[in-house]
Amino acid sequence: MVLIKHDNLYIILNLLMYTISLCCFIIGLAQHKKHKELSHLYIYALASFIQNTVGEMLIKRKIFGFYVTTKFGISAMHVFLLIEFVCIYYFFFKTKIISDLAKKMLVLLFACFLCFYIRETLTPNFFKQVGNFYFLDSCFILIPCFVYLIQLFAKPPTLNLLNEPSFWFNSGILIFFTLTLPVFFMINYFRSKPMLAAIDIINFIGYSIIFLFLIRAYLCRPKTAI
Amino acid sequence: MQTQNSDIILLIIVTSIILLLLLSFIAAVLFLYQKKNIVYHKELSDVKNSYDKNLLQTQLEMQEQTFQDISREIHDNIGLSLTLAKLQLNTINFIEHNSAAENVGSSIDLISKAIQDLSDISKSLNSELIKNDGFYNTLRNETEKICRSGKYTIEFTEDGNIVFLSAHKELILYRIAQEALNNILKHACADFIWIKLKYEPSHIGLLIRDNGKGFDKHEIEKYRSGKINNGLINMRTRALMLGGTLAIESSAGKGTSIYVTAPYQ
Repeated sequence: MVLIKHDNLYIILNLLMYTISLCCFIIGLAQHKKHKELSHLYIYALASFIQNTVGEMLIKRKIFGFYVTTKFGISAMHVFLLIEFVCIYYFFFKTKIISDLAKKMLVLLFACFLCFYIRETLTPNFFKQVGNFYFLDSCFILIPCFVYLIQLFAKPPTLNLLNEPSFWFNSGILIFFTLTLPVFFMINYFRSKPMLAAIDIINFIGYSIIFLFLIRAYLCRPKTAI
Repeated sequence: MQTQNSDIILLIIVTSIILLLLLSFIAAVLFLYQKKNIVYHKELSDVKNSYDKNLLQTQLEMQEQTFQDISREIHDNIGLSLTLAKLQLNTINFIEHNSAAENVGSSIDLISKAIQDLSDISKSLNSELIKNDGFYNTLRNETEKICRSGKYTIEFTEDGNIVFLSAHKELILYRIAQEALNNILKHACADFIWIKLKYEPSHIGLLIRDNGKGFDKHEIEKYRSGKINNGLINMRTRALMLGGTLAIESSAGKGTSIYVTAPYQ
């Protein structure tokens, strides 16, 4: 009985995430010129939509059971991770809230992640699992999120946060990656108990939130120069 | 299977709690920032009110000083000329035609001088003059007028392309220059004045220097600490009103130089 409920939940949340990411892509494409720092993020929504479609087609699932994954499916996840990382870091490089000094630190982090990514592509594990990668990706993305918040409060509070696109997207990122960080930290525990579909459910919720926040960010009124 | 399901339910509950906490965190960030924003804007408004109050006070002081200047000018120059003219006209001896003609001629000269002085006062106080001619031309005319007295030599130079400030700013800058020149004429005992206008990319710089007696360190310290309330303080307040700076350098026997900057924006 519980299983059926979870099965339904999986499908509903998956569909919800599809719809939101597609809406986000469409709104982002229409609004991307209005906000400089968000101009590229519709690509992120599109990449998420494609990756999930490709993932659903190429990764054969057994709900609440073990994955039977193909190398291509894992590679698609890795490519998406890289696109996600680049898109989010590019957003932080473009936002005016973060100081130039902090941006230099972000360049260093970005380079470190890329080095790690390249090194991982050479290992045989690269085509077998993505868990460790997700964890590292989350850690590296959460750092600029907190830097953003610290610098937001360090500067004179002249912004109207309710109409600040970078704040909304940063909040979406913060929620998603904080939510999934402990899950990916314990990925091996979840692997030992066939609960990977439950992790997917959390992922769906997280991505739905991130894209909802991104839609909210796109819908902020553009600032007019005085 | 039962254990597995309970694990899943636990995972969902934990995730929901974390999610709720995160959403609360974002709401708290929003709330704190908005609160900080309100306090900040209140402080900004207080500073603006205080600035406006100071500005108004300074304008009143400037007005008061202008009235004093007019009063002194009328008393010292125009009043004196007219009194002398009256005296001469009263003492005309119509029997001695030559002496009478001489007295009438002299009275006419004195009255003409009084008219000229009145015209000068009117011109120097008329802000329309700055609006029409601009700061540069008005200052140039003022220096030429001082030169014509024959007591002073003025070297007027400019550097860079002339930039026009707003009429209000040009008027304030002109009043600073007038104050500096008046101080030189009245107190410096100088015979040479250097005026240099420098048009920098972001601001205008005005240097007025003389070779007069200068003033000592003690007086400069008094000025810096704001303990004296004279023309120097007025000049500094005016420079602040422009959003610029005013620097004074002087030492006994070595003249005084005043450097004012005023941003274009």
